Amino acid sequence: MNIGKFILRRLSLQIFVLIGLTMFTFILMFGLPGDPAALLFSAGGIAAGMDEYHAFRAKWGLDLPMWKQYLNFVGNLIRGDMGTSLVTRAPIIDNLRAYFPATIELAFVSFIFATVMGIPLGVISALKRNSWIDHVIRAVSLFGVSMPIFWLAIILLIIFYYYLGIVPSSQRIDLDMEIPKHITGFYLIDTIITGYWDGFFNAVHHLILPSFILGFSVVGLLARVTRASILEVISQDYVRTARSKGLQEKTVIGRHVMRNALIPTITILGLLVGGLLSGAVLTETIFAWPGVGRFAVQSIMLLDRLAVVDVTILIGIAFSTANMIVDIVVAFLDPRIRY
Amino acid sequence: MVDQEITLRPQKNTFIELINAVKINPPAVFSLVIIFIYVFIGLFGSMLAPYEFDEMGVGSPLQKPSWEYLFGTDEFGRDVFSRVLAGGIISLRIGVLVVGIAGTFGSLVGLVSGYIGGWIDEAVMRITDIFLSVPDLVMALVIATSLGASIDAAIIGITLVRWTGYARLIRSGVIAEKGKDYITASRALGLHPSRIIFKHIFPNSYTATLVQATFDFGLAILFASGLSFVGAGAQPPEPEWGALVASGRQYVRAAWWIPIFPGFAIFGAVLAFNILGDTLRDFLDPKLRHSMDQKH
Repeated sequence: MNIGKFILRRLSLQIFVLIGLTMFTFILMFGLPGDPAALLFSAGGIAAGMDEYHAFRAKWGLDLPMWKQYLNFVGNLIRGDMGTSLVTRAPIIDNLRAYFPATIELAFVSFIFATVMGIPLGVISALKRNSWIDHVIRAVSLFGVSMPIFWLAIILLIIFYYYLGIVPSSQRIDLDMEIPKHITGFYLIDTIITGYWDGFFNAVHHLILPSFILGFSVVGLLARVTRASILEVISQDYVRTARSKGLQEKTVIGRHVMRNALIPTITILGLLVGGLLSGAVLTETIFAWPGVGRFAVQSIMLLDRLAVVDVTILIGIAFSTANMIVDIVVAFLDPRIRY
Repeated sequence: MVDQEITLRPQKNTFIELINAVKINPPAVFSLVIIFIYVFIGLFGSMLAPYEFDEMGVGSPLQKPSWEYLFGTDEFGRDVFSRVLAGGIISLRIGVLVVGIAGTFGSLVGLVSGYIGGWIDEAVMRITDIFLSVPDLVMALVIATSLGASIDAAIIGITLVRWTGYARLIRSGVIAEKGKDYITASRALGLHPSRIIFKHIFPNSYTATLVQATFDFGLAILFASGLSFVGAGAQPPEPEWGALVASGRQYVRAAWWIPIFPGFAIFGAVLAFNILGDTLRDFLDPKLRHSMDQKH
C-alpha cells in the first residue's frame, strides 16, 4: 500500500471513529433513565409548574425523539456550535475555549518532561542492563506507573508547598497577578508575546509541580518501552555485523541501534498522550488547574450532561488525532508498517 | 480421535515451568506475598480492625499515628487504620469483577471475531476503535457518571474500557494460530469450530491474556481509586481507598496521615500486581527471555 492510500484510509477511519464516539457518548448521557429537565427543576434551579416545565423541554428540544436530538446535536457540532449548558446557561464552546489551552499547556510541558527523562533513562537502562543503575531506573519507572497520581500530588504538596513553601499549590498564575491577555490562551506564549515577563516566570513557577507529577506518571511507560526495544534491536544480526566490521561502539549504538529502536517508542507516544489526558483530569482537580479535565469533573458533579458529552468529544478528538499522527509518522519511518 | 488431538497440539508444560521460575525470582515472591496479604486483608480486614470503620469518636479527632491508632484518627475521630482495612474488600472486589468480566467477555469476542474474520471481525474492530478513541480514564469517568456515580458504576465503566484490550490480544493470537498446520488438520478431521476455538486455539493463545489480566487487576484498583477521588466512584461513607484520600485531602495540613495511608494502600496493591505482571511477561515471552539471556 502506498503512503497516500494509507493516509487516506487512516483519515476515513478517524472520521468513522469520531461519528461513533458522538453517538456513543450521546446515547450514554441522554439515553439513560433520568430526565435532565426534571432533574433541573427538582434541583430547585427553577421554581415553576408543569407549563414552564413543558415549555422548557420544548425550547431545548428535549421533547424530540432521541435520534432527532442526536441529529440536531451533530448538525450544530459541525457548524461549530457545541450547544448551551442547561445548568450554567452559557454556550459550552466558550468554556472549552477558555479551558482547553490550559490543559494543552500542562500536558505539553509534562510531555516534554516525560520524553526528556524517559527516553534517556530507557537507553541507559538497556545499555547498562542488569547493573545497579538498571535496577534503580526500573524500580523508579515501576513506582511511577503504580502510584496514584493524586496521592503523589498530595505528598509533594505537603513537602514543597506546606513544609518548604517553594511552589504554589494551585491555579496557573498567582491570584494577585494580572492575567495575561488572551491571544493563544497559552500563558507561556501570551506572556512572551506581550513582553509580560513577571507573568511568564510566575506561570512557569505554577507549572513546575503539576507538570512534574503528570509527567512522572508516564516516564515509566516510556523508559520501559525504550529499554525493551533497544534490547530487542541490540541482539540482531546486523548489529553484530556492524560491531564485527570494527565500527566504534558509539556509531553502532547511535546509527544502527537507536534508529530502529525508536520506532516502538514513537508508536507509544500516542498512548502517552492518552495517559497525560487521563492524568490531567486528576492533576487539574488537585491543583485547581482551570482546564478541560477539571471542567469535565465539575460538569459531572453538576449533572451538566451536554457539557460532559462535549468535553468528552473534545478530548476524544485530541487523543485520536494524536494517535492518527503517530500512525502516519510511523508509517513514514517504517515502510513495513502499512496496514 | 482423542489421541490424534493430543499429538496435533504443540506440547507445553508452562505451568510447572512457571512455578519453578517464580521460586528463583525474588521480586515475584515479594509480589505474591504482598498480594496474599492484600487478599487476606480483603477477606478478614473488618474482623482484624480494632474499631468499626465508620464509628465516630473512637479517639479524639485528628490524632497522630500512635500504638493505639496505628494510622491516626480522622476529623470525626474515626480510626484511619480500621478504615483502610475495611477498604480492602472493596478494592479486591473491583479487581476481581473488572478482570473477570472484561477478561471473559473480551476474550470471547476476540476468539470469535478472529476465527470467523470477514465483516464481523471488521465490525468488532471498529467498535473497539471507538472505545479506544477517548483516553481510558476519561471514558470510564463518563460511563461511571452516566450510571450514577457508585462503586458498581465505576466497575462497569472500567470494564467497558478494558474489554477491548483482551479482544484485540486474543484476536491477534487467534489469527496467528489459525493458519498453522494443526488447525488445518483439526478442520480436515471435521471438528466443530467451537471445539477448535476452545480446545486448540485458546490454549495456545491465552498466555498474553494472563499477563494482561495481572496488570489489569492493579489498574482496575488504580482507576477505581481515581474515579472515587473525583467523586464518580465510591461515595462517603464507603471506605474505598481513593475516596478516603479525597475526603482526607482537605485536612492534609493538620493531619497528613488521613490521605497518606489509604494512598499507600493503593500504591502497594498496584505495585504488587505490576511486579507480578512483569515477571509473568518476562517468563511467558520466549523472545524476551532469549534476548535477556544473551551476553555480548
